[in-house]
Amino acid sequence: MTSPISTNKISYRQCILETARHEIWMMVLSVLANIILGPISTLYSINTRIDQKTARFHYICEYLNEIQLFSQVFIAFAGALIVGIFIFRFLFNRRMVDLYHSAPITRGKRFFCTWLTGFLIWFLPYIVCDILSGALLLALCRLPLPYVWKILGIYGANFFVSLLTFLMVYHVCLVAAMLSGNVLNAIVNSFTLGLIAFAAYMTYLFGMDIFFQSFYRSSLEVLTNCAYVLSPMAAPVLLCIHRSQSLGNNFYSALIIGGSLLSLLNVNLAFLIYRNRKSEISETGTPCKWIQTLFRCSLSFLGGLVISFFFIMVTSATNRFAWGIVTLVLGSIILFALLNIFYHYNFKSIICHKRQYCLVLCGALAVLFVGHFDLLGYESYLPKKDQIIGANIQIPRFMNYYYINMPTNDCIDSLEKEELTNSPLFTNSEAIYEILQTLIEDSDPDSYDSETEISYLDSIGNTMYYRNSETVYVCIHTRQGSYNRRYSIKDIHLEALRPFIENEEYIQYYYPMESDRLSLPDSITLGTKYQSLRIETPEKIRQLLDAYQADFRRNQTMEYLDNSISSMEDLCLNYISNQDDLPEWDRTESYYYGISPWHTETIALLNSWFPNIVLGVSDFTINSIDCYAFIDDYPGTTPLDILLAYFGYESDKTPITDIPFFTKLYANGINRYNIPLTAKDIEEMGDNFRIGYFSVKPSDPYVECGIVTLSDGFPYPLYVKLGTLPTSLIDAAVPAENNNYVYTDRVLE
Amino acid sequence: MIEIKNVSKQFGDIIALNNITASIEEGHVFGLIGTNGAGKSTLMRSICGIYEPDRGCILVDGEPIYENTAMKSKVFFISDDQYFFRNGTPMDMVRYYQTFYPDFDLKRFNSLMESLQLSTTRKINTFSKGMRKQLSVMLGVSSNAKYLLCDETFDGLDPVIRQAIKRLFIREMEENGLTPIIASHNLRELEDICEHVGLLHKGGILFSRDLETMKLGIFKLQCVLKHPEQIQQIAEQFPILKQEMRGMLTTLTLRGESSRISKLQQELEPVFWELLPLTLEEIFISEMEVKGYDFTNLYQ
Repeated sequence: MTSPISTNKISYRQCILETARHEIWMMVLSVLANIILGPISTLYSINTRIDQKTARFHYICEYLNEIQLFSQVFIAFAGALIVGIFIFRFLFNRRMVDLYHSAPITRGKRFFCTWLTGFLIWFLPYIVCDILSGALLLALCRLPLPYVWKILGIYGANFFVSLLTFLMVYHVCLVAAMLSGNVLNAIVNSFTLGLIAFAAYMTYLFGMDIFFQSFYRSSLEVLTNCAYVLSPMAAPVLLCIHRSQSLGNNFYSALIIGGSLLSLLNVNLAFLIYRNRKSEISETGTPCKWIQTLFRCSLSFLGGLVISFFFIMVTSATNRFAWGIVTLVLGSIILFALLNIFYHYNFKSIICHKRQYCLVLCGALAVLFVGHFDLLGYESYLPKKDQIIGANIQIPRFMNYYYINMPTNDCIDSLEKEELTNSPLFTNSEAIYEILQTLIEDSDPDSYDSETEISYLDSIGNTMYYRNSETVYVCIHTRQGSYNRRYSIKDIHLEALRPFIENEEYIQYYYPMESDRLSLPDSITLGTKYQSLRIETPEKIRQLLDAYQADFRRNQTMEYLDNSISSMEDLCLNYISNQDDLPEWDRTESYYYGISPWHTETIALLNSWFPNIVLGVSDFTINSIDCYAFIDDYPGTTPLDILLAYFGYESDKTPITDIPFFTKLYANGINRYNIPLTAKDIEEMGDNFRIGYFSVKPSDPYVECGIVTLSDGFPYPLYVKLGTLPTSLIDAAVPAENNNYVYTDRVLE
Repeated sequence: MIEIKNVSKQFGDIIALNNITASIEEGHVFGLIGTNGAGKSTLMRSICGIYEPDRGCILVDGEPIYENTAMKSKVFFISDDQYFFRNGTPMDMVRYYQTFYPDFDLKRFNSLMESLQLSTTRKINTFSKGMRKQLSVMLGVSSNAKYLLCDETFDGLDPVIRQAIKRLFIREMEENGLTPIIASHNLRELEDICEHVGLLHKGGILFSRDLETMKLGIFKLQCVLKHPEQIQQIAEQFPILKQEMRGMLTTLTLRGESSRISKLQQELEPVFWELLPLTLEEIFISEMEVKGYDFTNLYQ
C-alpha cells in the first residue's frame, strides 16, 4: 500500500549524507587543499626551521602567525566561495529543481541539511588536518610545556579566524546564490555583495584623496570599520593581518563581532530567500529585478568613478579632467554592458536599460563635477578665528623613516589608523587661522600630490620606508566640532609652518629614541648581524645613543628634514634587547637603525673608538664571484658607454665626479653584463672593493657589481668604488644572456 | 483525491494557469491533455508541490500540498525531462528516492528493472531516452507513492513497453491503489487507459470529465439529407461543433445523446445516416477548433 503519513520522517543524517554523496568533487578538493596546506606545509616549514638552534619558538610562532594562518584563511575563503556558490546549484537547473523540490522534505530542512553539508565539506578535513599538523609540529619541535600552551593558543586563534572567514564568505555566497538563477550570476552577485561596501568606501576614499585638499571626515574610522565589517570578502584579509600581528584593538573586536553578526544575518537572509524563492526562476539571470537594477547601477556607478579617479591620478594636470570624464563614461558603460550580459545571460542584451545607464552616468558625472569644481565649497572652507580651538598637525615630509619604522611606538599606531588627533596638538588659534588661510588661498586646484611610501632595502636587507609627500594633514578643532583636511605644501608655506615644526612637542613626538623599548638596549652592534662589532658597556651604549640623539636633535630642522628623505645610510646600529618572556635561545631581538652621513657626532665618536676600523666582512675566503652590472638605468649609446657610466667613468675613461644614479635614461639593448673579475683583481684593488653589507666609511660612492660567496657559504654583495674598476675588465664585459660568469678558480686568503 | 481549486499561476506576463478547478479521484487514471503551452506541466508541478500557486490551492487528500511533506510523500512526479545525477546509476537514484520515500520498494524495483531488462548498475547517461523514461516509471512505481504524476512519460517509449507500462499501472491500481495522472499529447494512448480526462487550453480548463461520458455526449454524424435546409433543423436541436460537406455527404460533429439523435433520424428520413463515436483525438480537435485553435489554413 501507499506510504502512510507517519512514516515520512526523514532524518537529518540521511538527508546530509544524501546531499554529500553528490558533492564528492568538493570534498576531494577540500581534503587535498587541507592536506597540502596543513600537515605537508607544516612538515616542510618546520623541517626547514627545525635546524635553527636558536629562536625555535620564535620561528614556530612566525610560521603559525603568517604562513599557516594565511594558508588556512585562504582555504576557508576559497572553500566558502566554491561551496557557497555550488552547494545550492540545483537551484540553477530546472530539472534539478523538479527533482529536489518535488521530494517530500520541507525547504527549511533542505536548507539546513544543505548548509550543514557545505559547512562540513570544509570543516571536517580542516579540523582533522589542523589537529594532525599541530601534533606533528609539537612532536617535531619538542617545546617546553609553557610554549605548548602558547602554540595551542595560536592554533585556537587561527582556527577562530578561519572559521569566521568561512562563515562570512559562505553565507554571503549563499545569499547571492539565492538571488541568482545561474552560476555566473551567483559568482557576480557573491562578489558584489561581498565587496560592495568596501568598494563604496574605497571610492569615497579615492574621491576624497583625489579632489585635492578634500575633507577627511572625522568619522573615517567608523566608516572604515563599517566598510570592512559589511564586506565579508574584505574583512577576512584584515582579520588575518590583525591576527598575525596580534593587534587586539577595537577594530579587531569590531571585525569579529560585526563579522559574526553579519554572518548570522546573512544565513538567515539566505534561508528566508530560499524559503520564499519560486522554483520557476531557475536558469534565469538574477530573478529579482530590483536586485538586478540595484547591483547593476551601483557597480557601474562605483566602477566608473574608480576608473575615472585612476586616470585623474595618472594623467597630467592640463587634461586631467577631460580624462576623468572620458574614462568615467567608458568605464561605467563597459561595466554596465558587462553586467547586462551577465544578468540577462545574453550578448544581445548588452545595450539594455539605457535609461538606467543615463541615470548612473549623470550621478557619477555629478560627483565628478562637484569634486572637481568644489561646488560644495569644501576647499575654501575656513572656520572663523574665534571658533578655532586647536589643531593637530602632521607633516609626513618632515618625518624621517625612523618614525615609520619604530617597532613599538604609539606613533606607528596613530599613523596606521590615520588618527590625526594623536599628532601634536597646537592651540594657538591665531597661528592656526593664518596657516589655514595661507594653505587655502595658495592651494592649487589642479595639483594632485599623492602621498607615496617609498620602500627600499637597506644595507642589511631590511625593507625601509619613508614618506615622500607635499602634503600636510591637519585636524582642526572648532567649537562646533572637529574635521580633518589635507593641504599641499609649497615653499611659501614653509615659513608659516616653522612655528609648528620647530615646536619642542613636535620634535619629541617624532623623536625615535623616546621609545621605551629602544632606550635601554643590552648591546649595540655595528655591522651585520653576523659580522659585527659589539658595544656592550653601558657607558659606551649611553654615549653612543646620546651622540645619535644629539645628531637627530641638531638636524631636526626643516632644512634637514626637507633634504633628509633622500639620504642613504651606510652604517647601521643594531639594537639588541632582551625579552625575558621568551626562552633563552629566543630572547634577543634586533632592530636596525642606519647612521646617515649627517650623523656627524655619531660617526666622530665611532671613529674615535675604532680609528682604523673597516666595518664589513674581513678575513674572508672567497669561494666564488659572480660579477655583473645591470645597466638598465644608465645613459649611453653603446653598451660600453653605458658600462663605463655604470662604473663611474666618462666615455673617455676618466672618472666622473657625479654619480650617475637614477638617471632613468633607458638605452637600447639594455641588459645584464658579466665582468670577468677574479679574486686576484679584488686582492689587488684592496679597499676599492667592498664585500659585505657595510661600506668602509659612510657615503663613499660605491656601486654594486656582483655577489661573492665566502667560505661561510653565505652570499655577500660586492661593491666597487666608482671610477676604480680597471677599464680592461669593463672592456672585456660580455652580455650575460643566460650564462653568468662565475669565478671559482681561485681562493683568496 | 486531489482537488484543484481556482488555481492560477503566472510567470511574468505569461498566465500559465488561469483559475483552474478540477478534481482527480483516487483509483482512476486521469489524463491531462491540452494544446502546447496550455499549462499541463505547470499544473503537474503545482500538484506535486514544486510550484506554489499564485492564487487558489491544491489539496491532496484534503490537505494543501505545498511544503507539506506528508502529502508530498504521497505524490511522485516524473517530469518530461527527468534529472538523473551526473554519472549516476539507477541505484544512485534509488538511494536518493529511498531517502525521501521511506516506503520505497527496492525488491520491486529490482524485479521491474529485471523484467524490463535494464541494468541497475549501468550509468544512466548511457541509457536511451526510452530507457530513461522506463527507469523513471519504475522509480515512481517502486516509491509506493499514491499519486504518480507522469508528464509526457509515454513519449519515446516503444509500443511494447507502452503496453507493459499500461498493464503495470492497472495492476498497481488494483493492488496498491495507485492513481496515475498522465499528461500526454498521445491521445490514442490515453484513450486506452484513462478513465477521466481534463482538457487544458491557454491556462484554463475546458472540461474535466469521464471519458465514457464524454464519448457518449459527442458524435460524428455522416448523413445524406433529402433537403439541405434540414441541417438547420439538426443544428436547432444539437450544438454542431464542426460541419463538412463533400457533395451530398454531410459530416457533422455534434453534441447530444445518441437516443435523441436517432430519434431525429426518424423525423428527417435521410437518404443516408450513420452515427459514429469520436475518438479522444477527434474530440480534442473539435473542442480546440471551437476555441479557435485551428491551423487548417496554415498552407492556404
